[in-house]
Amino acid sequence: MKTTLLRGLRPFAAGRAPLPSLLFLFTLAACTPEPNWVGAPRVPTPVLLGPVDRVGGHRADAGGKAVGQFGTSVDQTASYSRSETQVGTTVYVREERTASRDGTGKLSVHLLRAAEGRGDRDAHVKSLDLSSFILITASYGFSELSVGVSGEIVPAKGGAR
Amino acid sequence: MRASALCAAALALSTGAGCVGANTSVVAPDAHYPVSLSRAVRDRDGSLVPGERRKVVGTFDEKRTAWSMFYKLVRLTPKTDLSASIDRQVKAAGGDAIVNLRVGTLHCGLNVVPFLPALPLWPGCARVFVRGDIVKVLPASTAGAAKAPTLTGAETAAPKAPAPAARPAKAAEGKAPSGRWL
Repeated sequence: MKTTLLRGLRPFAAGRAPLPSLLFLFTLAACTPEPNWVGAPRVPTPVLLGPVDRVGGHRADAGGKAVGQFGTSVDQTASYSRSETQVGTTVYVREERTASRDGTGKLSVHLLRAAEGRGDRDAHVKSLDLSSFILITASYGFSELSVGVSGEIVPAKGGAR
Repeated sequence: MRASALCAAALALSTGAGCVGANTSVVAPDAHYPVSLSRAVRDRDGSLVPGERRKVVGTFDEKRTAWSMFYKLVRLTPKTDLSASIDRQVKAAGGDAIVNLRVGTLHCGLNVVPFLPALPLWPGCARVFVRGDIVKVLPASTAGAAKAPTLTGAETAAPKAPAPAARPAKAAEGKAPSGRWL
């Protein structure tokens, strides 16, 4: 075990360890003040989190038949990779950074498609999952922030179109 | 089991690899107020409340932290229940509902501590942010239901609202309270 640990620390001491990956991810985490937001402000259909579907505390019919479903994941990812190739006395270093972010309107698009923009339907959120993930190896770093939303479209009783 | 955990830790340390993070589900099963991720909310009679009858009386703001261990395999915070916070904040603001709910997540500092995420016992975490507008639904007479609507036809087709033909679209856009409504 001791030998394994010492062997494991050797790359760090040699400066070839995941330090670039760590620095990249640390900078990314520290310099990302804005969370990976998800919302649906432009959707004319109520998108309900929780059982109450009306002002006054009315609870939605649990046995309501769904007429549609929606589900999407809004992700924000970044990665860093580094590789070295030695040809003779020359060392070629290749670094690659990527970053991508889904638009905040992604959920709205899915909801508008599923509910067809109708006011006589409600969208009930069944799951709203948030996730953060970081993977660091000696030459690769990956960061992901994800918000997954899924649910059902149901007709609103007494709802106006 | 113990041996495999030790092997995993040794492997992680020897390769310098590590993964860390957290995940949680945001729920509000016991909330007593309607909470909508969109701008729309229904009145007591089931009709959509038009924009001019929604008065923003406060901001719902909640921050939580979700935790995991063993490379996210063990969720220490499987659910983030907002029910109590929703009831408390809406009641304090004198509101009727929350609209425009936004949910966001960020890494927390423990995820990027050097080297330690390689340990399976190292806790990973995710910061959870939830924000929304607490609105009070005004009575139809107070809000002047006969005025031009501010939103789309779908929302303004409530029974007490005037006929869509009487509302020019440009006038409706001009009354919109902010860009996000357009």
